[in-house]
Amino acid sequence: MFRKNTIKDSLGDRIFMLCIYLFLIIVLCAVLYPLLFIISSSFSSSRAVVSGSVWLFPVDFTTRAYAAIFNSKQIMMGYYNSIVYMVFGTMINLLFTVLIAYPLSQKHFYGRGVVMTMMMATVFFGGGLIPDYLLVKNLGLLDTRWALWLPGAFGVFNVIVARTFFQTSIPPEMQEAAQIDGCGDTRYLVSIVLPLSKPILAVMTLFYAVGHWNAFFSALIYLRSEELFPLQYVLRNILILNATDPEMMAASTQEMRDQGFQQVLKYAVIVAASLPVLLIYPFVQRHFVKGVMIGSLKG
Amino acid sequence: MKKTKKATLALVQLMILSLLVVACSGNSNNGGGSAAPTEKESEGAASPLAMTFFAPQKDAPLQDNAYTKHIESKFNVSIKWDLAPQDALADRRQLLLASGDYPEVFLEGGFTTTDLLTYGSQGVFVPLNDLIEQHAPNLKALMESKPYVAQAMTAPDGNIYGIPRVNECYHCTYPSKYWMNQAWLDEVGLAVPTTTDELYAALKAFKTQDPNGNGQADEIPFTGAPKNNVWAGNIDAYLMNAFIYNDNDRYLLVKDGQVDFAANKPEWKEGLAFMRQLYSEGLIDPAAFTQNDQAISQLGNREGDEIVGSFSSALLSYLLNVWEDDIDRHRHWVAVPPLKGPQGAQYAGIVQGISTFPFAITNKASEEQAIAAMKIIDYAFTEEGALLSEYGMIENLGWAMAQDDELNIWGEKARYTFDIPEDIKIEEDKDTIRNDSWSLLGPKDMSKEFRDSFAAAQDPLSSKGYETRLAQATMLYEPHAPEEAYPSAAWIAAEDVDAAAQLTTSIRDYVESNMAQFIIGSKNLDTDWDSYVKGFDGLNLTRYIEIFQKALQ
Amino acid sequence: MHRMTKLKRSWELYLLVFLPVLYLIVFKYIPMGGVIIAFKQYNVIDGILNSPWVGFRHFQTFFESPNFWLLIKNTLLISLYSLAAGFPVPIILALALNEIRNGLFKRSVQMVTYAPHFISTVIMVSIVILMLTPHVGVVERLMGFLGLPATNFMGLPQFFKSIYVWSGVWQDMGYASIIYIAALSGVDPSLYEAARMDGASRLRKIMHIDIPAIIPISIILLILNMGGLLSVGFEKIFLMQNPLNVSASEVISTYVYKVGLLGANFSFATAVGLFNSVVNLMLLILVNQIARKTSETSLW
Repeated sequence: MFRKNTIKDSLGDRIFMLCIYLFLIIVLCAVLYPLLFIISSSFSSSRAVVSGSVWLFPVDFTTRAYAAIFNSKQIMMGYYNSIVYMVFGTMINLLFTVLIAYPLSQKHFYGRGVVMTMMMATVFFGGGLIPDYLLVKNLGLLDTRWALWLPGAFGVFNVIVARTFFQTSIPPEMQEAAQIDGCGDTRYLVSIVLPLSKPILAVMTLFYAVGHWNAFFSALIYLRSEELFPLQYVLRNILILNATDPEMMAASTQEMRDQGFQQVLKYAVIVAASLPVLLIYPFVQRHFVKGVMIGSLKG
Repeated sequence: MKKTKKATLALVQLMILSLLVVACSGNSNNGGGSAAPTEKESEGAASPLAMTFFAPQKDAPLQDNAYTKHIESKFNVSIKWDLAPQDALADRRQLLLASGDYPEVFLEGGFTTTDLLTYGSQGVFVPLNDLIEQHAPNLKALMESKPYVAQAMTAPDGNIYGIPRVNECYHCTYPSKYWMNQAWLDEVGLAVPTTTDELYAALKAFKTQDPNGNGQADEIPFTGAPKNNVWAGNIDAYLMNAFIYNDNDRYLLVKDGQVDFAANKPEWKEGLAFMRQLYSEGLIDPAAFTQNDQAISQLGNREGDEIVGSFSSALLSYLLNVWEDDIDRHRHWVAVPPLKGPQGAQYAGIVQGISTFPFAITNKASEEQAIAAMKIIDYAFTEEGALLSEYGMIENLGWAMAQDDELNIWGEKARYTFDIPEDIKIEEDKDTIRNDSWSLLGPKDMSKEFRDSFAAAQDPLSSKGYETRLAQATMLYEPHAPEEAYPSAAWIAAEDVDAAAQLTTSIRDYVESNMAQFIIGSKNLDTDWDSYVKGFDGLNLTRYIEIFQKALQ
Repeated sequence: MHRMTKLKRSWELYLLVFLPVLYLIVFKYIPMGGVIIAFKQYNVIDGILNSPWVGFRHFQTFFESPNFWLLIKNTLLISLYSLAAGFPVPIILALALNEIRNGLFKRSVQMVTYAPHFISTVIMVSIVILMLTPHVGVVERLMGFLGLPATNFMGLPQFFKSIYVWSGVWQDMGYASIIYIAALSGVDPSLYEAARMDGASRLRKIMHIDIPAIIPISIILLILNMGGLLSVGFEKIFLMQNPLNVSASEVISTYVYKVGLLGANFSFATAVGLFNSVVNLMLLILVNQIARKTSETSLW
């Protein structure tokens, strides 16, 4: 419908495309509606939200919730910290992931099964929270930024996905050609595999970046000082999520008063917290480029 | 290829460099590391005594807090804060304690009696009896004037391991309330119900006689919500009390010091039958078993015609907006006192006692630190300390001296007020969050006497008079408290703790899910009741009662 | 080849894996010793090493709990249902998006479906409850529109799993489809050209080019998912539970949480976690073997 083409689609194909479009539009609407609800609620007055008047568009448009968010020193600190954790953490993640996924993808790696088993075992067996905590403490990493970068240096899931990509997307002929040229494993990795693996590296970047951005639990365990807290951690305090704690309600009626605003704040917080990560996606998308391989193989 | 390689290398080097820079800046902020410094300073020395307090994070940094500074200068201490997010407080605290990496003082740890006993007997928490005796005269006085506090604080082994925030919130003691739409009652010409039969008649009238006058049968006579979402929002919290006493938690009865179980008695069955009847005639909102607080507020506050006739909960404000003067809907709602059931039962659910202890001192504290901490706590049991601690350091911002004509919820003269006159009120900087109190942090005196010293708007229906309204509603329930009720803070013996945990969970789930099923009719009271009662044997009910009987001794 | 030759040949690879393996040893294998907590009655003062040994007692307590089989059944059913629904949807989404040339539409759909992943569980559940509540929820309005009777879905045990699973699909399908989109973008375009020359319909093209391209990664993901079968997360279920749906919604993690809440019993939680891990591992190995026999792709 919207593209130039030299060969026309058959009737069957056009009906097929129609179904595809229909399917995608339904999906789009189904996902979009609740999102719009959230965004609109975040820009509505507390009275409107509390009475259920918000259906699709903001009612009594106001930016009060966002003002509260961006005026908070703690929240802005949280934003800064989360960005720092995300940027450097992702770099470390990518490094480690490639370092282990690549050898695992090479058939001639002697000891491949051993390393694989070693890695998989850690998914299932672990001492739990306390031994992890004690280890970090004994390494002197407690209450430092490294506590959010090192314990999660790579994820087994991501390594396996990356390994699969290395195995399937790069034709073995390339390796043979490289070998004949006397290319060592490292050089092969840096010069050939990585440039051809842009899509998977992009995906890994995204997944790890999101993981860091959403980090709450590791911050909970390892961090104590206010100036290190990431955004999600700070946000959990802004929201009184447990509305039925009688003592909180009973303390003073002043707190009860803000209940309506709390609801609006909840929605605004989702939007404000998700925005940065949402904006990363288009940059990552650009690397899902077809035809990276053209011309790399001759004959 | 060479160029890209060089560029990559340079990039990598830059990354590593910046990593180090950022990491080191994080490090230098915490030069002291994670272990709490335990300097032994003699009192009266020039440099302040350092110690670490555990507390939940507030929305502004506690180290810059005005009350913190006040305390630090008054007691010559320097407080390092070990913070956790409010809703993961228990998780963090458990982790610290379990790993042995805990601070000297827990200012706000949210400990149950079980926690205190566990850690007290392990030696992690130190007994506070002597410290209180010698360094906390105000707390001591409070304990003497209110024996139940001293009792709640003392573990079976005679030691006191934790100090509570003595918060005697009047309306919290009787949370199982019921609110009804007076305007609709007037419309159908009925009085506020006093018996279960009258309730039935009123609800039926709501359903059939179109009291909101819009020609549609859209009225919901009775709604509520699960108690996890709304405080005492479950319908049986109120209704069951017309048949048998319902504590809405452990389902225990106490008679002559003997503990018994309520949820397998014939009276319980009658209560279920009554609720079943109401439900089957469409008088109870099916959503009362599933909805959350947001749904309730949308139900009550919806634009257009009113559709709710009555509501069970501790607070009317879940259903209706009571905070703004130009919203009127809540004004024609009233609290309904406990109903009298067919057998004459007429109870009000009561929650009394202290079940959470914020404060404990660990075995890592030196003697000076323990004494200092105790003194800091004791200060909050003076009137001045409690006032500043809870409501802020700045007079005329968080609180003010009451005007001559201001009265409290009982109509007596008040000393303080929250309603600060415009001309003396301090301007709040819109851009900064207030950071001058330790609100909800640590033990302090928030007893009835203290709370009564504050003014409350006398008009219960005004936007500022909600607390008065709650107090007046509570007065309707107080006379019907049961003679004996199981205290919420009994000390379960250490060897019973595991069993108590498992049994309480299983029994509570069993009672609540069966109750819901009986009411909505998926289980039949005639045919399924016996097997329901029998099911308690499989859940080891006798042991459950045994444990709680023992704890009562 | 001789072992020495094999070793020598891989020397560069050993260099590369050195850092990650060091990480594994330090951060994973050293703490792993702590799993013995499951066999002890852990208390703070004695620490991990000196706490009293109780053998299999915690496991016994768990197996003997009144609704043990109900917990297992609910956990497995929810997991399998999640897998059955949640596995194909991202694939279908990725395949469909792959057919679209129009950049704006394609990117918009991707962006929008990716967004829900970031909504926190608490908010997500509260929105789901709100939407499904009678009188105020959107769903009831819609059903009224379509002439269907008002139903309190959250109160019906038979709907619990569906609500749980499909809200999860809604939230994660966009995020999960990213891997497949990346895989599809690596397909050699000359294959498409060839297919077009041969006059293949789009459907055939998908069947013969796209799907084979993502089969390896799909199988791997499937195996990995099977290895997490007993680990149904606790938070979302806990928030969705109410007295009416408890029979369908009580799973291992919620039970352990409730019991653990009243008594700080780390050993119990660790023991149950260990049990889960062992079962999950067995499942993983089983599925991996099946995959090995029937396809070229497998984990090991």
